[in-house]
Amino acid sequence: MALILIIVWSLFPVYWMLNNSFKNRVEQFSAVPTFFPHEITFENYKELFDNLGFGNVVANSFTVSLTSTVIAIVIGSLAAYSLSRFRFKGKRMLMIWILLTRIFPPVTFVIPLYNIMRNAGLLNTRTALVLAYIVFNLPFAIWMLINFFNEIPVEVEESSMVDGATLFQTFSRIVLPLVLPGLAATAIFTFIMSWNEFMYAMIFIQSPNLATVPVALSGLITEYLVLWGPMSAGGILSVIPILAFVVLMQDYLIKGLTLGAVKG
Amino acid sequence: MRKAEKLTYLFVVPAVVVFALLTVYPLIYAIVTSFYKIDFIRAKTTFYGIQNYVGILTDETFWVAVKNTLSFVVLAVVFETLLGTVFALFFNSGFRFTKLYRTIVLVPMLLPPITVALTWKMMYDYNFGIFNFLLKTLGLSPVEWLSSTNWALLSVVLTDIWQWTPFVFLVVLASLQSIPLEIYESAQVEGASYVETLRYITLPLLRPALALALLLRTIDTFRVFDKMYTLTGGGPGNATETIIFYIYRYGFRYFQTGYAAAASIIMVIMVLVFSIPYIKQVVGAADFGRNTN
Repeated sequence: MALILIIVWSLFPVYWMLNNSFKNRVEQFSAVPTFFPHEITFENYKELFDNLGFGNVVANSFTVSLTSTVIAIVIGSLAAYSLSRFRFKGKRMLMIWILLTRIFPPVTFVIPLYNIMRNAGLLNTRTALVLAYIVFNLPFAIWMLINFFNEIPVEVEESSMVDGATLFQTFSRIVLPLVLPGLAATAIFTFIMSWNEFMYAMIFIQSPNLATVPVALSGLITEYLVLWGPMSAGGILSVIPILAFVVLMQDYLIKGLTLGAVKG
Repeated sequence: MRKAEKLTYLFVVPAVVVFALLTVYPLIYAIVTSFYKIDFIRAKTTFYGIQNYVGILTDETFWVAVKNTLSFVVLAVVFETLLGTVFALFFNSGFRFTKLYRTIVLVPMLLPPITVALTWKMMYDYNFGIFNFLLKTLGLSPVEWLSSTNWALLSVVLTDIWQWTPFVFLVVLASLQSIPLEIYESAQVEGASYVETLRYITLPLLRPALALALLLRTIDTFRVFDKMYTLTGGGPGNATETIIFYIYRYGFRYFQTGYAAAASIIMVIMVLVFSIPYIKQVVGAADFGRNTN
């Protein structure tokens, strides 16, 4: 019984969105809401792609999220490896700074970044978003990857170095393959964070044809425009990539979300 | 842990450069800007001393925003923690298919906050929303979820609770599962009841996890923007105006960049103050010297 309650509580809004995405306009605004569409229609999805340019929007979100994820993972894994393995000047300060960027509210960086991007002529470009997303993706990626590198015994590398491999060869051929699951989990996380991000996307992008999914969705419900149907359809589409990932990364969730403060 | 070879620096340099350009420089930029009055129309920048700060701290609306933010944070975090703990205790009592059910409980926290807010907005709708329909079915009068000053903030809180209870659930469940079973067995042998076991064994052992969940949720709830923006737009009146919304309005609607920058610095200081225990804990736990051989 309690279990049923918990499941209904967790899934009802998603179900409601799914339900509404298949209803026609009349049924959506009927006085008595229906828990299952009388007549299943795909018109909402059709309108989303035919008239509201959603294909483009989804492509933008993928481009921005993927690019920013790749950059964060490449730079992040190099840094995390050094932080996990070596002692060097300024290491402690770097660690604390990484943590602080996680704690600072993003709005702190919005105002200066807006001006910096404008001066660099990057406002209203996807590049601006990719850069802005690195602000929160890179510290996250580094912190999460440090934990994964820490789990690999140093002996493996030492024997490789004894065999005459350089540091970079050891890193790329021996260590990286070992942390591959960790890299994948981290990448999925940074992807989801970028995919879900709203504030930077709304402020840095003005042209509708460069908008990302959350911004485009919020544009469907305004004071003058209430498109529940296409909004529900878009909401469902925005959720699909995430649900696909959830199944893959269950076991890494805790570690990622708490920056490794709790072991999963 | 080995001493750094010169090459190590090459590994760290890209990250340091990115941090310098995208976080350190902007932060300094924000601090400097906060001491200036910037007029975009006449492209004039004048030094303003601490006038921006004085202006904010004497602005009544700012204090309304602070009050709203605190109410929002306290309400949301307290209920998320309670509900998340209850869910976790329930799951830890052990039944079949836990993994599938656990995934279901986690779903809300991974969804785009905008999608969540829009779905709830649809459910809160006065005329066609499911909530008012249910109320009417039960013979109660409908509620103006988002447009009455009494309800608006609570409605946003409820949406946030829905989305983030799973996070507390996750952290607490992990902690529960790390408690050795022997402890419970010996408690049982001693004849302790469920409530006694909970009160004297489980909850004390959960304290670090609960503290962590509370802190992380507080940091993140402080910065909630998407939900207010979508559900209420800060209204009605300024019933759901939060600090972050205040900064957004001054920065990007009135374009008073200096003033908005000063407000964001004030916010950073507030967040830092209560994050200090967390910073200490994480920096302490992130052992700088593992793999020492």
